[in-house]
Amino acid sequence: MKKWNKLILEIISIIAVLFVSVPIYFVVVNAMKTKTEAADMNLRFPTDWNFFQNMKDVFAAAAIPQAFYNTFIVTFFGVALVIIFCSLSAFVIQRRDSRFTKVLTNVLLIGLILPMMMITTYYVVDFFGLIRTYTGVVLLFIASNFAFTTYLYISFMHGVPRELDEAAIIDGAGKFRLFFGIIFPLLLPVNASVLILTSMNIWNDFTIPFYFLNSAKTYTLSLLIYMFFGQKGSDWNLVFTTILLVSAPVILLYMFLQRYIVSGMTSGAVKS
Amino acid sequence: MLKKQFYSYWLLVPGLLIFAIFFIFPSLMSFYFAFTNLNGAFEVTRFVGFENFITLYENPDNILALKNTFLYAFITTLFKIVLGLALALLANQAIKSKIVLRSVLFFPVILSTVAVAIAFRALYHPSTGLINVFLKAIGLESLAKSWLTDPSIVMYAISFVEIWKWTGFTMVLFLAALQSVPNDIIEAAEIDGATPWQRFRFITMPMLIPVLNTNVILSVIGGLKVFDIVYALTGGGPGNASSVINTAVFKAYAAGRNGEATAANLVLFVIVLAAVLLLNKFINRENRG
Amino acid sequence: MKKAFKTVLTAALSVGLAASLAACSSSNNSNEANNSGNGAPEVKTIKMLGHSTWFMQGMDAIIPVAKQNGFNLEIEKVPEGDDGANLMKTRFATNDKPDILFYQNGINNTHGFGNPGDVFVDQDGQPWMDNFSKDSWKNMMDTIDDGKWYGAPYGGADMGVVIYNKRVFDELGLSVPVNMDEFWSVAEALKAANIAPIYFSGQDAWTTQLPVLISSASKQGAELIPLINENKAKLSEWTDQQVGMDFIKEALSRGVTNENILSSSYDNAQKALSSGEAGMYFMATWVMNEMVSKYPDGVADLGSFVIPFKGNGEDMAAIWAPKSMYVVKGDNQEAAQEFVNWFLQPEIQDIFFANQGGIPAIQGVTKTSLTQAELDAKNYMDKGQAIGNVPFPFLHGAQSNLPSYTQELFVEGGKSPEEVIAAMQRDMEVDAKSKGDANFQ
Repeated sequence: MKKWNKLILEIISIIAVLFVSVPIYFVVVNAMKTKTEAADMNLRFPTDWNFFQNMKDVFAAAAIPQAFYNTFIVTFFGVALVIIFCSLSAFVIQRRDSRFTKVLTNVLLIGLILPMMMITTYYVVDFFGLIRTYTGVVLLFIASNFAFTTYLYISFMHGVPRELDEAAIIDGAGKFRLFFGIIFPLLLPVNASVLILTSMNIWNDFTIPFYFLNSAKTYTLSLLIYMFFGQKGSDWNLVFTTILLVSAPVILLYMFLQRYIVSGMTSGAVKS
Repeated sequence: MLKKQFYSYWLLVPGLLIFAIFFIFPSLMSFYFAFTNLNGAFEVTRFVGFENFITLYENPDNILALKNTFLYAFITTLFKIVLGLALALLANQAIKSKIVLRSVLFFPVILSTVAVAIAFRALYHPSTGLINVFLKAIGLESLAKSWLTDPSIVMYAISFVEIWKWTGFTMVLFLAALQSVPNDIIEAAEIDGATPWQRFRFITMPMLIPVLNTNVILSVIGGLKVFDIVYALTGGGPGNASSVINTAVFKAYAAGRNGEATAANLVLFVIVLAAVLLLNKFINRENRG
Repeated sequence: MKKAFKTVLTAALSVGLAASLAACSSSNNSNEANNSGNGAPEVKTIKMLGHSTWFMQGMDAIIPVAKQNGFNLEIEKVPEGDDGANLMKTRFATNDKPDILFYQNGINNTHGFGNPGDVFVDQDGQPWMDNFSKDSWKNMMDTIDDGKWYGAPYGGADMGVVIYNKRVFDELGLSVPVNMDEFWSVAEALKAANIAPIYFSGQDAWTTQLPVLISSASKQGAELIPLINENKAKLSEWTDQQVGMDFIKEALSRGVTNENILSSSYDNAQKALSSGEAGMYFMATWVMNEMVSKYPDGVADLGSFVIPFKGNGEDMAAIWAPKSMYVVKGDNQEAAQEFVNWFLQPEIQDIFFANQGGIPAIQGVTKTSLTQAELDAKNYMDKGQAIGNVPFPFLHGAQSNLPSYTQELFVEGGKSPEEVIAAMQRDMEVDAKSKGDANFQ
């Protein structure tokens, strides 16, 4: 490629990066400022580094540890169960050719399109007495992520050759060892992508906690930001600090799993 | 065909059961309640036929919500796809900044929507917001609008935030597909004298169709079903200027008119279904070419 | 790597499973624990639910005293406005109710909490009523459904007035206007001095209702609304309500407001008013409580007057009856009722009002700490020149969308006053029809 062609591309690339980074930098730098400096809302460095005081104020004003705990419980179990249930279901649906599994594939498609009907879902959750419980919310997250995740697993399952199944069975494996011992590990790239995507979805979700975990003791972090902003909207330094706190865990998880994402999204051409 | 016991239906049961009870079943229930006067205490006193739908239709604010939703879905999908593809192509070149490009651009995807919305509320403020301050500083004061409070541009302002947040996602999907295009074919075409445009049009693009399909459908569905970002940025306001179907659902729910809210949700389902079926047909026709 | 992944996942799962089983059971049980009877003899825990800014200095002073008297108050706070109200209604819909609900006065079955008679304890005949004049608060604190009294007064009454910065007025030689001509010239004078004459906090939709609710406070409403409730009159006939809306439009066209109204918040308004950047603000006296804690320096500069829409001293200040405490029927209702009776004794009310503004509805309260603005407003009430801001309760949801409608008045190309009133009429009819009201079929 010609040299100046490359240069132009590099410049475009840098502009794109800037476009994305500026708002992020804006939040980070203003989280470090005092209330008055943050109210100016510019990109300058803080003259009065106030980050730790801001953290202290946020912890005092909002029940951060409790919200952290709530969000963590719900995310951890949601993600774990989504991975297990969806990969299992995809395994059966993809491997087993029957009218039933064909019907299921169509049901999954519908599931992708159907919006979550909050009011009637509320009714169902209430019927089981699970409003404002972690259990209820975890079940809802499983249900709402089921279609997409199973679909994703099915498309990757295509890339895992059936010969492996046969070999394992000849070796005497039962259905659980077949799946958990052989197939599941081969789905690693997908698992990593599902892990980060589902974690992201659940950790950041606003609507389900808004309807189903809406008492102060059970607020999740998304709700906390929103409520906090509603009450202390003018203390921008505190608002931005809260945003950073809430985003930190998912960012860390992302950095850890980053390299799997691109490879995981590739339509699994798993070489045997 | 391997023995069926290894692909036992029992393995499906837990996931499928939860999916059915907590997702499929409530959706089907709503098909009934949309035709009743379900109230805030979940009581039904009578069957009202299509009354809820007529009420929704007769309220001009809801028509606006419908228009806004379509506009939003269209714009965000268009830009997410075009920009995502362009950036993926860029990130696939042998340039120095490609690693940074990939990781930084995906970053907004993992942030909480509410957090992003609140940050942009600060950025969009008409007098103290960074965007307007910047525009004024470089002499483009006339472009410094009231982004979230001017009804004629508020939906565009919200769309921009969505595009900012999610383009990294479409980019990553496109990138993955691009990387699976075998190099030897490209090189062979290069040797044969094909121009970069020809290489793109006849080799790369056909391989991108499945991913394009996925991206478009996901974008459209997400755009039509939007709630969080609109609610957190403007609450549907000012007034009702930025209301979308799901904020109309929420409003009816808040007023205790759950039958009406369910009806609005049902309307949304029909719209999304129609959109997906249409798009599927359209894109698959392209695919056969 | 794959093996490590699997091991870590399994280990994490088992640890997490154990932890969560503990957590799940404790979260599921904590809702039951406090309601399961008053086994502990001395201290009773009372769960309360309300908007966060309703619990300020007054309640803060009461909490320790309550504890000494055997009441452990657990207050759960929700945000202001509709968001918080929705949360509260959702809780009731799923039977997760507090022992005492703090809400607007006069809850009826259109508010979304169910039928008051089924949900709340009737307060008639309770000891606290000995110090309460039902006549003064009729049509404000009772419920229109059955005429019963479910709410007990919490905090003081507030008055809807124009809060103005006296210091700024004095510096410019301005006096309180007695008719609209004078009002507009005052506004122009303020504008010439680079002070925002009328501040509107358009970002917070609920605050934009004030001019309309203030103009609505007149005898015309008290006569018309009962007819409107039976569909024998239309909302458009209630001309006094439209006066407030027309006023907003006129203020906008004369350019006597602040800039960026739709991005200005309630908090911004308080700041501007106390610092003298704004001259006048349409609000109710409850704002003084927040100002006392957030911007205390400006409090002494502020006074209030009634906007002279009619002129000639005919205008009345709008009264907001005190907020209400509703005793929720349930396992803990006896303890909750005990608290209410204890709290509403004049000696205890003294403690509350010594720390927070508001005009007490309970008779015999001697200690109050009213700011000048509140005293100015109270004058109107004492002279009988005040009336409830909704002069007669609405049977169906006419005003449920009023905040967003009045907000739209500030938007270019938004609804006009006539369109707002038409929309309110439609909202009311839809609500009435869905309840099967025969007058509206």
